[in-house]
Amino acid sequence: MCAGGEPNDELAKQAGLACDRGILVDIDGRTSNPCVFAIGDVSRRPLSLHSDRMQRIESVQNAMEQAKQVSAAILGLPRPEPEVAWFWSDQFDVKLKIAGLSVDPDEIILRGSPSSDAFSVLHLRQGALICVETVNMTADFMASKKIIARGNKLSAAALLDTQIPLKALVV
Amino acid sequence: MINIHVVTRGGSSIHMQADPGRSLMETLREGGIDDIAALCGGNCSCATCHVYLENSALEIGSDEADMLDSLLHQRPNSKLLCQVEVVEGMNDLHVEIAPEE
Repeated sequence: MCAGGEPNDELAKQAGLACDRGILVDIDGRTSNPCVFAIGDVSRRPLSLHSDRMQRIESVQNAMEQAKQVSAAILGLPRPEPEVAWFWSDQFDVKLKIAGLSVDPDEIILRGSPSSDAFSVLHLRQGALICVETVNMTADFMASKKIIARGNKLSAAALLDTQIPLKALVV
Repeated sequence: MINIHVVTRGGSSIHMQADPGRSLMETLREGGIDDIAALCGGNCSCATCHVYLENSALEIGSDEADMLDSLLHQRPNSKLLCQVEVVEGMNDLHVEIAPEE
């Protein structure tokens, strides 16, 4: 467990860039100075898949996504499609893989049983999957990334039924 | 030394040698093959090291199988490079890098 990390935005502040617990950037990774871009853990960016909520995300996937955004912006290429954030952690024999971000969920569904050491916690908002935390359920993780990206509305009954692979629910 | 023949997405043909003791993903990355993004660092979590292996009898683990089964470009000879450990005496390998998902 790690606590107390802070973004090192002191240099950016000294340079006059807008900061708020991290360097503020837009969907192209651009700071308040149009000639300066910032990406990765230090940047606070809008989340396209969550009504442009501003968030700092500390992950390789996020840094890579922002790198693509900045490259496209600099080269004048079309903006890349927004990606579903994802994370992984291995804790002894527990493989934790998380797809999406649990931003304002209004429903939580437990798929499978925690006592079986393999289960998933599904977070929904207005009937659509927004985040899935999987424990030793790699197949659920991979299918969830697609379901979350598509924003499909799914029935709770189908999500609860572990006999129905999530892959089958990808539209 | 194990000989590896790599065909990249662009069709380039690259020959390299692999030292035992690390994964084929690390070998290709360090050999300068950028097609292999290896986003999860070799943890069987991203499938960005997806390749097709010719004439290989390497086993596929259950986590790896779950990853491969979710891929649009899966084929019978699909493999995740991060799950291939280079060991002394293994056969030479022909590796074709799979299309990006």
